[in-house]
Amino acid sequence: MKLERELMRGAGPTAVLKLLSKHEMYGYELVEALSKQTDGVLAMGQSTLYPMLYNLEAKDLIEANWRSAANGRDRKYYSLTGKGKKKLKADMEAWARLNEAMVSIGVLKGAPA
Amino acid sequence: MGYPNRIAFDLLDSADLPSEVDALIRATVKRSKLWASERGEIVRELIAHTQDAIEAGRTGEEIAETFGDPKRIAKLMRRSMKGKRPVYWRAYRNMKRAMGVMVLVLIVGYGSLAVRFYLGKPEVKRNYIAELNARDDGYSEDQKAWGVYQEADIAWQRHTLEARKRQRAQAQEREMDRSDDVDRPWAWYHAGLDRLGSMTPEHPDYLEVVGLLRAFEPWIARIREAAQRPALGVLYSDRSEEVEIEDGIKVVRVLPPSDDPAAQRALAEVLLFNFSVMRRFTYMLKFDTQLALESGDSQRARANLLGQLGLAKQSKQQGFLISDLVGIAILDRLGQDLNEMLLAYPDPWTRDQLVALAHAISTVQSLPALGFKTEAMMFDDMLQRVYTDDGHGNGRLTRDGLFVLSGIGGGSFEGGPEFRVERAIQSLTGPMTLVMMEDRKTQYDSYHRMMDTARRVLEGGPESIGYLSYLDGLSKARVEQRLSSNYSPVDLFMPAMTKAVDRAFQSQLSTQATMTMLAIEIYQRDHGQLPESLDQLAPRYLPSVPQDPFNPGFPLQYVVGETGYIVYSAGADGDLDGGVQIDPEVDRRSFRSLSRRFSFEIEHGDDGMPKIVRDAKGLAILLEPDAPDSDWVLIDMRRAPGPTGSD
Repeated sequence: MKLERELMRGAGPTAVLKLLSKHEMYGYELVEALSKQTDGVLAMGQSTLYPMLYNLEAKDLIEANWRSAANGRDRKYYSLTGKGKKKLKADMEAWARLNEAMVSIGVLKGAPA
Repeated sequence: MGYPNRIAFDLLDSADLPSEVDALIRATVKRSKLWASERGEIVRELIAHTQDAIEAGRTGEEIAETFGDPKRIAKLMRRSMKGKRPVYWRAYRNMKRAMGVMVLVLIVGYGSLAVRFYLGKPEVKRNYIAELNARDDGYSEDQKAWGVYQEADIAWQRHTLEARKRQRAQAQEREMDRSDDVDRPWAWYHAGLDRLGSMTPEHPDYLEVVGLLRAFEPWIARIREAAQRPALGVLYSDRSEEVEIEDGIKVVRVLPPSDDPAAQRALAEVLLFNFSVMRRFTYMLKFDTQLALESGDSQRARANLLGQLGLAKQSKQQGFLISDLVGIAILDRLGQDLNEMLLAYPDPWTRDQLVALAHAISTVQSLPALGFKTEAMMFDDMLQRVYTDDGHGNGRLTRDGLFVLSGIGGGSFEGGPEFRVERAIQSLTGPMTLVMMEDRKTQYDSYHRMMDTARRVLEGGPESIGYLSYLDGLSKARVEQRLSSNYSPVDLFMPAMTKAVDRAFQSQLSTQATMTMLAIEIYQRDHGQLPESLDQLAPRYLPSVPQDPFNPGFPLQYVVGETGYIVYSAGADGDLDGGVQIDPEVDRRSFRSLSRRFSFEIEHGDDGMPKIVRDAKGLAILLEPDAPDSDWVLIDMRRAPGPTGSD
């Protein structure tokens, strides 16, 4: 199941920031991670991922640099900046509140007490 | 393949990706409209992505399937990449956008102005030309002079033409090629007889011109008679044509103006051809006066002087600024001529003749100095042709009006290519003048306020000469406040008025000196000797002792020596230098500008009018106390180098 575009627009960047908070990643790696770890819910192709990465880069939330990988090919690695870390923290809190609100009105099921 | 894609496509060429993916990336890059380096960056990343996918076991087809629509990707890439561009580029883009908005605002603004400009139509209601012509309605034909002048003008052309033919024939009979010489005197006629005034018996053409004038004497007598008629009776019209009524004889034929003022041209464009004819006749009378005195015919000389005064009077009665200036010029020259004649031929003048002459001069002098009324008519007529009329004295500029103003302000020749270009530019820029140019009411108020000031300055007595700079200042203030423009009616009409006021002041001074001279001459005939001071002339010979406008509070100066007397003014420096005029020629030539250079310190009174600032002694404070140190000798009745050493 894939998310609607509007929902993806809100969730996608936070998901990317969260993945990059663990370690730096390159584009294809991110695509794979998003697809596998979310069971395809947050899967996105190049057409969505790269514009999103460039936007995050323009906002100084992530930074990128080209490096040669072990197989000898060049890859562009993305990592979180200080500003990106703060943004991720704020986003996660917002998502948590949203989650609580959704639970309270019955859209989501609450965790068992 | 254009330059912007070169880097990107070179990378793709060397990457050797599956053809379907390669095509999708190329299509995306082409549509991105990004900088070449940005396209390269995207392609490099997409190549890496594709290669990673292949390494992970994906086929080209699978990759292409998840790629998405190139058009949409290109759009998203463009938007996100531009966000990464440097600050200066974003500042430039924002500036471009702001300018775009400004241009849009301007276009919308111009559009609404253009609608107002092109839809506005002037309403020409008053027939000023008819009002002008109505002034002579009460006079019969034999009380009007113009008919005689017109006939005399034709007769003079015929007279000179016949004489010229005769001379040419004689030259041919003598088989002499003297055509250049023969043409010489006629050249003067075409130059308006202006040089007759300075012609002396030593001149090679003197005898020929004398002969011409003597043979024209019956007509000169008719001109003299017509000059005494109470009305000029010329028909003013916006329609006239020059026609050759006989071979070589041209006259201006006036066609009656239309009864509909909207079909007429502006009053300011009415051709005032009559004044050049009248000016020609004054030169003729002046020259004939000289001839009369040389032959001892003092009666004819006096009649000529009175004829010139009559022409001056008729000219001034027309009430145009130009006709007043013609009148002023005739009067000024007459004063100088009289000075020279009384010096050269003192005897023929009896007391009564001098008194009659003084009365004739004072009649002309008492007419309004400048035609404020007719000038104002021209201006008001202009407004009704230029602006719309809201019924409350206000209105806005119209397209037709702008063309009228441009015509009067000296536009290109109508019908020529330059004219069409000028019209096109005016049509295009015209709407903007709605913003730049004052509305009808402001123009009306501004002009009439300045005219009112000019009138009050002129009527303000001798001291007013110092206010000239103030009057000039009004025009300058408009320029400084950026109210002035080439197409502004006020600025087209007003500068001529300030110059004319200056000229009128100078004329008042010289006519005053002429009247003083006549009073002295009459006194001399009564008492057998010259007066000791000008105080002795008032009130019997002059209503009051003549005051010197350049030396406020003091009269004109009068010095008697062994050989005669002089009457002089303090001149431009405003102080007395014993009647010494350093360089009479230079001073005389700069007479016009001197009153402007000479000015008092001025403050404003409660009524808004300027007032002269005075020192403790009540004397005017001069702004240029160190101006040229010289007096102006207005009347010089010395028969030899005089006692004041001015020569």
